[in-house]
Amino acid sequence: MNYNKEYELLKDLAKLLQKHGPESFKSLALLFSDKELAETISNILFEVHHHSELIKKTQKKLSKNKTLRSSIIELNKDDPERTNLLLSIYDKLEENKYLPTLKQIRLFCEDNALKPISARSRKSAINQFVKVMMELSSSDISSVKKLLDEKPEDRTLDGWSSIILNRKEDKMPNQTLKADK
Amino acid sequence: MTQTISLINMKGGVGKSTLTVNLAWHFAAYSNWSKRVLVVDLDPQFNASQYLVGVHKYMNIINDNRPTIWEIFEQHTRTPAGKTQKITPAESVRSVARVRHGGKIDLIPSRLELSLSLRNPGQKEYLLQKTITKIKDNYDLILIDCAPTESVLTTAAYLASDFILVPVKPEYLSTIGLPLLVNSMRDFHEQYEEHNINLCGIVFNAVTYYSPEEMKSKNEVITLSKNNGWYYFRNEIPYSRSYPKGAREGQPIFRTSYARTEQALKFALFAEEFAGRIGI
Repeated sequence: MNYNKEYELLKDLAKLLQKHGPESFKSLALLFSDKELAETISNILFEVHHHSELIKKTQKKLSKNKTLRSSIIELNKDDPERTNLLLSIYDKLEENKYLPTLKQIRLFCEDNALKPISARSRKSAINQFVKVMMELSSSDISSVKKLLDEKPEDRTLDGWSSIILNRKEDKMPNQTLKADK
Repeated sequence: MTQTISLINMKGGVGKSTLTVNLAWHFAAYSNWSKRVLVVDLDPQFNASQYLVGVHKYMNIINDNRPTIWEIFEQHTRTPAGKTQKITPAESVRSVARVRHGGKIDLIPSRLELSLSLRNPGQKEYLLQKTITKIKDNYDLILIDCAPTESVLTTAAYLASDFILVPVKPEYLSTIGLPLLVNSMRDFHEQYEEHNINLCGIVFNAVTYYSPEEMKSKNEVITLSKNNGWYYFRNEIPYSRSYPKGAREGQPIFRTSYARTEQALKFALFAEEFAGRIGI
C-alpha cells in the first residue's frame, strides 16, 4: 500500500504545528469534536479550494498568449449575459469611456473594495482590472458596471451654486425678488 | 468599541470639515487601519458633504426621499397635515467609499435647511444621540463635523459624543474661539451633569512655521492649555495647498497629486496621536 499522500499531509501538519503551536491544534481539535461544525468547516474549505482552483484556471488560460477579449468570450461561453457585461466594460475602458486615466482606475478599485491595481500603465491596468472583474460573480460585475456608468462627478462652483441658489429661491421667493430690485 | 468624536470650534474657517474628512479617509483607507467610519455633517453649510460627494451625488441625496441630518432634527415636527415623520436612522446613512479589508466611509449628509431647525430648537438636542445609538454598532469611529456657532446643534453634538477635538488655527481671532468653546462645554456640563464628555485635545491646524504672530498665538494657546490641564497635540498639521486641492478633487491629502510627502506624513503622525488619545 502506498501512503505517499498521507505522508505529505503529515509533513504539512508538522509544519503547521510548528507555525501555530500545539495549543491552537488542541483547541481546534476540541472544536472539531462537534460533528456539525466540522462538516460545515469542511464544506467551506472545499468551496474555497474550488473557487481558488477556478481562479488559477482562469489566470492560466489568460496567460496563454491570447487576447483578453477572446479569453473573455472563451471562458464565459456558457453565459452570454456575463460575456456581454465583461466585454462592454473592457471595450469602454479601451475606448477611454470609463476611467480615462491610470489614477482613476486605481482609485476606483480602492474606493470599491476591489483588488488593488499595481500596473504602471493604463493599458496593463485595464487588463488587470478586467481580470479582477472575471473573478467576480455576474451580479457583482453588474454592480461595478452600474458604478462605472454613473456620470463623472461635478465638483465645480457652478454646480454647487445651482443647488444652493435654487433651493434658496424655493424657500424664500419674496425676499429674493426684493433683493433683486 | 465605537468612539464618537465631535470636531468643534466656535470660530469658523479653522479647518474642521477638511480635518473631519481627512481623518475619515485616514482611518478607513490609510495603511492598515481599515476602520468603519461614519461622518455626520452637522453644519448647515454642508462642507463635509460637499467634500465627500460631488454635485450629482448630492442632488440624488436631496431628492431620494431618504432622511438627511435635517430630517433627523425635524422628525417630530408636525406637518400641516398634522402628521409626524419618524425616521429610520439607517436610512439616513449614505455610502461614500468601500475599502478592501472592511474599511468604509459612510455619511449622514447635511443640507441648507438645517439652519431652519435652529429657529425652533425645542427638545431636539437628544435626537442626534438617539439616531447614533441605533447605528453605532456598524462603526468603529464616528466623526461629527460641527457648525461654528453655539446652538441646539452644539448641545446635540456634545450629547452624542465621547470626545471633543478642537482644531485651532494659530492666529489671534481663531484662538479666542477656544475659551468660548470651553465656556460652552462648562455650561453644558452644568445643565447635563449626567453626561460625560472629554476634551480629546487641541490641534494646531494650517501651521506655516513662519510668522512671529503665529508663534505668539501658538504659545498663548499652549500656556492656556497647560494652565487648564487641556491636552494639546504635539503633532501639528502644517498648511498645505494640497488640502484645498484635495477638497476640489474629493480626495484626502494622501491621495492628492501635489501632496508633499512631508505634509502628508505630518497629517498621518497627527492621526496616529489622535488614535492613541481616543483608544482605537
